[in-house]
Amino acid sequence: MIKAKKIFQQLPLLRNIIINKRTGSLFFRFKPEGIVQRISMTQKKITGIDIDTYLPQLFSLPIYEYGWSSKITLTPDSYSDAITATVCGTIDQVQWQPKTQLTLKKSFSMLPAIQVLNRRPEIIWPDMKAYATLYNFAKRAENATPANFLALANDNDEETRFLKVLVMAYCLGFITSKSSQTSNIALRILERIRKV
Amino acid sequence: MKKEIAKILITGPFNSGKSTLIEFVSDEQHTSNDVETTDELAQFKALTTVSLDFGVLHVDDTLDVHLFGTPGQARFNFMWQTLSKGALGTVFLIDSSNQRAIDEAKQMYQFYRETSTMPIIIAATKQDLSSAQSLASIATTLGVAEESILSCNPCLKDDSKKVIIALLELIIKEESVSEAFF
Ligand SMILES: Nc1nc2c(ncn2[C@@H]2O[C@H](COP(=O)(O)OP(=O)(O)O)[C@@H](O)[C@H]2O)c(=O)[nH]1
Ligand SMILES: [Mg+2]
Repeated sequence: MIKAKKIFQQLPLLRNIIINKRTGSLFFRFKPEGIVQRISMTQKKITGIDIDTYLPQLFSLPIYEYGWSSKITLTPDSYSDAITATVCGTIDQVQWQPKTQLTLKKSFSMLPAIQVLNRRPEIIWPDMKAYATLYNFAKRAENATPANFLALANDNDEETRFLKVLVMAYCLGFITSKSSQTSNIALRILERIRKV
Repeated sequence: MKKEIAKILITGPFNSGKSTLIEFVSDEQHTSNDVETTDELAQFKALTTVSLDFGVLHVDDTLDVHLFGTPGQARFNFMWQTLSKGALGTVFLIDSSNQRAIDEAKQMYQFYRETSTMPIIIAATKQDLSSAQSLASIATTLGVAEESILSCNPCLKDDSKKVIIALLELIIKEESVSEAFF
């Protein structure tokens, strides 16, 4: 287990796991005295004891320690659907404390300008309106930073919805930083090659 | 509108499966014997008797991928080096049934690592032949972890796709919006 240097360090880790379609086990705890939780990522689903409690917490609590152990599988094609559906469903349902929301907002506000890769992602995301707003914002805004996107929210509810779509798009790899042309191109080729 | 071009290199000794792999993941395939091979390959044509592969994959209206097959022998390292400028990554195919090629692969892999920071996926072909060396033994010869070598039969479309997908995922991973942001 590694001590988290940043309070929401589980999000970049999840992003890395999901983007690379890795399988294995994620270990974590939220407090030094807490019990170590484990969730397993197979190619088909995310499983674990009390997953209904711990998966939402992964998206709503600052982390204390975490670890990852990979399991190698050589059939990466069949990975994504159920996993992304679970992640989407969890983020959609999550209830943030005001303090958590503020912390997440601050973290995302540190990201540089982003681009959104798909106009309509092939996922089940209930709030497509927020997604479309994000997509159009990233396409048109002169300085498409998450901070500027969140500033578009008219009230607290909308800010929550905007923050949720950001967390989802970040974790599933639908956004990349605008300066990373390479990963943008590689993602486009990846989508194409899956259909070959 | 001008199309963007992304380059991917497929290297490996004669008979390691380069042409077969490129065929499966391209919309068009050419060899250096074709008249319209790219200028990039044309410069090498006179220098080698082996045929150089070249494939194009159309991604969308604004992006094409050019796949270059380069001969995987140390004396052709200069070719790989020239073509690697601006390339996204390399697939290094090793014929598991060819002891000489495996021995040479070690030198080549070292050369690639020393002269470039490009993402490289190593794939061992012909694992289905009885004369094939195991992944573990090839890994030992190359001095890499066994998990970092994929087994691939380029004659199977899904295996060819799998290797390119693994390379692209490695590229994205190395470029990923990083942990530094949180
Ligand atoms: N059985 C088997 N045959 C293979 C495999 N990979 C390549 N071949 C065969 O090896 C021969 C050489 O392949 P080719 O793509 O022309 O190799 P290149 O010289 O690197 O371009 C062809 O007849 C392929 O069908 C493999 O994994 N298993
Ligand atoms: Mg050939």
